[in-house]
Amino acid sequence: MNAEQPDELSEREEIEALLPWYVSGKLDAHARARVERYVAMHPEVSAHLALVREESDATITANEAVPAPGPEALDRLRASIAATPRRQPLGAVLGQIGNRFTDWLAGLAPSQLALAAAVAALLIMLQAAAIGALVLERAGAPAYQTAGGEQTAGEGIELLVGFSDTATIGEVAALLKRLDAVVVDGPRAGLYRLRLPDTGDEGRKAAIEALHQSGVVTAVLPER
Amino acid sequence: MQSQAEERALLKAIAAGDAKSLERLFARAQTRVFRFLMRVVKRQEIAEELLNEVFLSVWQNAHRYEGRSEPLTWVLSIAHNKAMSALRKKTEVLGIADEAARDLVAEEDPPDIAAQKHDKSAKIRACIGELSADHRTILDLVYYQEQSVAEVAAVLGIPENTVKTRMFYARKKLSELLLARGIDRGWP
Repeated sequence: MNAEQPDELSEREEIEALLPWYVSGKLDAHARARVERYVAMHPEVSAHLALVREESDATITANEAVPAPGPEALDRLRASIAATPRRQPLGAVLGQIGNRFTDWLAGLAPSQLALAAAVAALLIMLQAAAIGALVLERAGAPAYQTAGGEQTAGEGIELLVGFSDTATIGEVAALLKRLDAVVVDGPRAGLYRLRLPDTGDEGRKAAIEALHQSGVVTAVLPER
Repeated sequence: MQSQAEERALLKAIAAGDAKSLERLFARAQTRVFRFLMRVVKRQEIAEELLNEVFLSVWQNAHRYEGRSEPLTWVLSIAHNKAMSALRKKTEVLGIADEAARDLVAEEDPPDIAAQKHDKSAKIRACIGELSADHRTILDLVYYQEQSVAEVAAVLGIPENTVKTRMFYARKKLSELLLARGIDRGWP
């Protein structure tokens, strides 16, 4: 903002500052009532509304004089999309794995279903590994250990956490790194068991709050 | 409102990877976004490039849209960031200050402008064209893009009070420019 323009306005100026949004109908009820009260007590301000409408009309005309983008714009966008790999949210990746698995199952003969059940269990573990392997590796755990593997007793607190369908693996990894957390189990009923350093009650509350505020977590349940 | 609900639904579908929904959102919003970009960067080829980048960013980041603002506001905030970034690059290349770079671009205004001296509305448009990029942008966002105080704050990444004062001083400056052209609006 320009240095010569102070942020403080007089009451009259504050009302005048709101008039553009009053005219466009974009003020909330409180601000709108404030403007109307002021204008009722100072009728000369209503003449100002005509100035606002003039400016609004001129601005709209100036914008509409700018031509619309040409029809090639959409083709260009299509080409860009085709040429750019898209980051997939974690939920979508796991969903696609699930869909492919369902399609595969539908093609099996009944005699093959027993084997399919075993494979299903393996796939579920692989899905969990999308999160689990990532964080266990960071924690120095062996690369072959999966999130669906046995729970290991250790120091720290444990929380059951649900991740948003739109969370990416990168976002989950960044969150876990920030909290110095690892996934020790899951998913079970859509929840992962996280282990975090035990830093007392305050630390526990702070960690839960950070999980809630992260934007990628849908549920946090204390475990122990 | 129904339109906004539809746009929210489109963003949700885009987040799930539906390219057709991106095309539909593009069809709905491209003109407004393109005009916003053009009014900032002034060059058609740059605005077209940025328009493409904006919707590519929508495609890649739709899953990050949390619904806290209207879809158009969210897209305009991406457009504003892209436009500012383009202007910064121009500044780096030319080695001059930010505002000077904007004014340099502003010199290339399509003159709708001084030629039409008899029409008051044309004079107002000409004076709007002479405003700084910050002031012109905020008028565009409020009057043409129909953004509320909170939405303008979200697009520009500034506090709501600054939105109000910036708009106030933009309009004040406009009155000064008009006075210099012989139009006394009686305000401020």
